[in-house]
Amino acid sequence: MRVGIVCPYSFDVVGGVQLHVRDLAEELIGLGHDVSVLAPAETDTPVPPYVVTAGRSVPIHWNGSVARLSFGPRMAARTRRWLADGHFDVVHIHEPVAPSLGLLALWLASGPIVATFHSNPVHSRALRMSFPLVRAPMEKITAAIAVSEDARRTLIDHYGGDAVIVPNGVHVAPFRDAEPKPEWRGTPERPVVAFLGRADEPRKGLAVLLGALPELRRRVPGVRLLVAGPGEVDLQDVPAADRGAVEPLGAVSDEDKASLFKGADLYVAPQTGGESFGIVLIEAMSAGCPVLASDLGAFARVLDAGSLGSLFPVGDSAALAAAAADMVAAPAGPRAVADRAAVAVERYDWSEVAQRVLAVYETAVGGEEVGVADH
Amino acid sequence: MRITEVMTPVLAALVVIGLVVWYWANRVDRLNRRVDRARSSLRQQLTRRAAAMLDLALSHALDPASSIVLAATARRALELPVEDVAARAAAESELSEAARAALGEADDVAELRSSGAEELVAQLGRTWYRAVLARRFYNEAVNQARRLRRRRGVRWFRLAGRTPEPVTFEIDDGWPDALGAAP
Repeated sequence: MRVGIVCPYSFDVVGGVQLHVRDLAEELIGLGHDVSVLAPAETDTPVPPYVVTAGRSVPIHWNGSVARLSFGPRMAARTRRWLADGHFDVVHIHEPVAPSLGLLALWLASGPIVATFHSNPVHSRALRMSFPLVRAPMEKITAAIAVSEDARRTLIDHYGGDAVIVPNGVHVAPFRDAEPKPEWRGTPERPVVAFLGRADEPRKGLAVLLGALPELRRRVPGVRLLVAGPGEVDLQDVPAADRGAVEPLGAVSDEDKASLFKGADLYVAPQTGGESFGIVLIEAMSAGCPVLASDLGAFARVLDAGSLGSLFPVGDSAALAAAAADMVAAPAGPRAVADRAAVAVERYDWSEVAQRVLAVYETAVGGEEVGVADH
Repeated sequence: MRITEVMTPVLAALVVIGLVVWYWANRVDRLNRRVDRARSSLRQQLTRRAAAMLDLALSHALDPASSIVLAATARRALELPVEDVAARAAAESELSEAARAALGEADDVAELRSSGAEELVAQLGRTWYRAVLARRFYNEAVNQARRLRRRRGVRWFRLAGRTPEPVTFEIDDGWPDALGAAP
């Protein structure tokens, strides 16, 4: 099958949607399909050979974080050319309502269109304004996918459409088989608690975790908090005595992320909103790392309401501290849960997920190929 | 008052109304075509599902009673056109029920797989899942088309033309748990 995939966010930075698009493309190529990805990226950003770069993007506040979006007449022209030259059997647009290449492609394309909805918007006011503008283009979607029940609810409530759920994919094996790094490995005296995500993005919830640190240190004095992810770690509100427990690692590679989870005693996901899936939770579970997450709908679903990991009320540092201290101080229970979780995550493995995406493509593809609509 | 002073706003209003009607007509037309495409995909996937059941029924892998019921219900479903919604839907629901009964429980399916019907069972699962998807996408297209047809402007200008209002395809296509998690 010839598949055209559109990614709305720039490959200049790492993000959930970009990684999803990259993994899906590579999985499909591995299965023998022809794939071309259209995505924004600077000309000097190294991209995989199957990516066609659409050019530069503009950082804009969108859906609770700063997204690098591409729009304007030049982007429209490039999207049109890519659609016309691709002779795709199906075009798969990610985040078709984000005002970037996704919406442009949806507006321009004709023929079999599959769309995947990732996000769970938190800033509804700006989005509500956009509903009338996207409703007509959205009628062109042949088959809609939502990555979770939460993403599907958003689609139903805000746009009046429905979608089938195909979860995000994860490569389980690299996490399952990773080797821990000695310097990041937890010991009974110095257990390791891991955080992953942009340190300077409020909804990733690092502040909630740092707020729990004094109480956590009181109960587990030797605890180390490893903070992985880009952005400056702001320790202003952390008492000076506790600052030494925080070790900012900066952005980490995929291998390092797997090693981090493999050696950690606990992964904490303190996100405060805007999450529709929780891929990092699944990665931690694949590595067999116990998980403690805020009780957002998406996280609760991934953790099967708490049977595959623990939950605490969103934004509640005190509850986080108590739960984390319990889990780190008596690791036998959490480890047994983590072992069960490591088996349960198999259904998120890309080998399974890619087959389900292909099933959607097959039902969407008709006689005609993808083309450019007249405007 | 000169005639042009009266005519200019009237003409402008007509042009605007014309553009709006043209825009609505385009949307109606596009959705009608989408419903048609979704229907042909649904027909294709349902046919494949019934064919997979027929293959399994004729493979001697099942007991004779199950084989006969499954083959008969699959044939009946295949003979009815998708356009005859009520009859075809009833036949497809019956087929789903017959298949779930014929497959039995998870250990029965495991036995079936190990007795050489591995590929037939896998084919049944694949086609079943695709039929479920095709029906969801068809119903979604129908719902959107109906929503648009109910709008006042679309009704006043009779933009739906003579195309009959599409109806959703409601069947029992509940996944057979004996096959394990859906692919």
